[in-house]
Amino acid sequence: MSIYLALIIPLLVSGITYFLYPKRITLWEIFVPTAIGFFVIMIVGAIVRHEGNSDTKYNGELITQVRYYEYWETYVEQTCSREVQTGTDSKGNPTYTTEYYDCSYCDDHPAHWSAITSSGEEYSIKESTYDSLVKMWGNNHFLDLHRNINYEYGCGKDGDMYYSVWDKHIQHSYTRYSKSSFQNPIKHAHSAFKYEDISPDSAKAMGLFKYLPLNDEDLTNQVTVQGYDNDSVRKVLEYLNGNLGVRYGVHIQTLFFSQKDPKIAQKQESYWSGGGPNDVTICIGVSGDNITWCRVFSWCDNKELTVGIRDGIIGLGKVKAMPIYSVVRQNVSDYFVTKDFSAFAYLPYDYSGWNYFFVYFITLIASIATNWWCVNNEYENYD
Amino acid sequence: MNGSIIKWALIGVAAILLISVVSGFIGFSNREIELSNSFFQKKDERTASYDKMYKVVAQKTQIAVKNDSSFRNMVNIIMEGRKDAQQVVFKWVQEQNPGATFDQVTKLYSELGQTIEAQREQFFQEEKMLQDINRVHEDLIRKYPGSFHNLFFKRKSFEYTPIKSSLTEQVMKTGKDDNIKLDL
Repeated sequence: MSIYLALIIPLLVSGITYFLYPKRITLWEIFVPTAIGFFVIMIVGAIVRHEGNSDTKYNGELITQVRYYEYWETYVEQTCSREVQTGTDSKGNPTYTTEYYDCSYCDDHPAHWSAITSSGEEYSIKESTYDSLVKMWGNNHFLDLHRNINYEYGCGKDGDMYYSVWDKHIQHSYTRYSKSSFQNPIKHAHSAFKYEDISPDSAKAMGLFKYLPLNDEDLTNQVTVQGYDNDSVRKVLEYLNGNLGVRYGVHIQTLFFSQKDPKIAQKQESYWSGGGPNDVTICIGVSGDNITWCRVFSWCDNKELTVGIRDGIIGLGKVKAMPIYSVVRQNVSDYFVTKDFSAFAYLPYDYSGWNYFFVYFITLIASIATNWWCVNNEYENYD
Repeated sequence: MNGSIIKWALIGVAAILLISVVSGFIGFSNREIELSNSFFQKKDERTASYDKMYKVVAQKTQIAVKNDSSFRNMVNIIMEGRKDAQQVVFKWVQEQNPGATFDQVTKLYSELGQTIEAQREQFFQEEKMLQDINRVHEDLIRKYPGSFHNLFFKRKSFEYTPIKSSLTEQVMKTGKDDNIKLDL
């Protein structure tokens, strides 16, 4: 069904309005709601498609520095102006004059804590995160910011910065992700590339993992390794994602399945709908520390990536962090390219029931509004 | 005046309907052309991907295999996913490297198998997309309102031949399994 069938709505509303108010609508006004309705449907349809296909991709980053900015305040002297009514003119209209006054104020800046990522982005973190990283990295430097503080009327306090730099130790690394949106035409289309739907309840029952759960409010240390309790291994694999994320734009997640059939990796792929365009998901079957199977999925066109990582990891025999890191790094640097989802632009958008309802509803509102305007404007049918 | 208004109203409705119908025809034609372009581009990519696969495998094995039918047959067996593929490939690698030790053959076989599997996966992804575009095109020209628009445009279905098993150049053209005899 086409969304343009909604054009019936303005036609019907215009007909009813003309029937009710024949004297208040001119000839040309009869077609205004339909013409407006056409554009409304076109625009709302485009918005619905854009929003429906909108998806998020993630990119791993490393935290290279954390900063603490001290509280500071300075007195800002300034003069403001305002219009004041002074009386009325001969026609009774109010007259105004510009009045100047002192609007100086104390400009205060609360203390705040932030982190700098390997891509140069700065974002806020909690004080506790700052403290724990300073402690872990074992360095804390002072930097005089040479602020120009104006001390007046009890206002004025200088504030500088303390910072701590990552010590380049993998076990002390901290990762986070950045988000960006992209258009995913597969999301709302009937396609051979569409995966089977797996509900969260079924996923839980099967022992599948959630996509990128967060482990703290700061979003600093993202969970890209699931199903394995060894902190040292986890840290290396998280670092792997952060480090290669910056270099190659890849987002790597490593999932460990203990005592599970390899088929579960296919279910995981379906549950995550293949992951994002830059995702490389490594599913590893383990029995204790022994690797029993491995399956890698990614949208990357070059399948040497997935086959290479899989065979490399299976060849290791046991879960060893640094060898896994080497295998993945080598294959990512050789073969990884982010999938360009515009390749799926040929897929037509399948409007859902809610999409139709939304388009029809907005068209109805627009039709009523334009007909109301037609009835109440100065153009009348005097014949 | 009422008669005049109804006359103009009917003209207006007719004009709006005409604009809708014309834009429907334009939309259909543009969409069909887009799909057609995508289809033929993908078809070319599929052929290129197949050629590339031979080049990559040849490079990996460092064997001059350009006109080696046994090599092509061996690749076809892997692509078909035949059960005895592993034995056949191993035997082929052994025959191509008579002086090599068992370990060397095993290593070469492993690398070769990995490359062919990756190329095969890649190839099937392209085949899948080709199928998908073909399906979308079929939906466009056969389902209403596209079927109505196509009464006037007479756009035809793509000549699409899915590749099922033996992936030789001949199969590229015909899409038929050519029952290659294996000389391995």
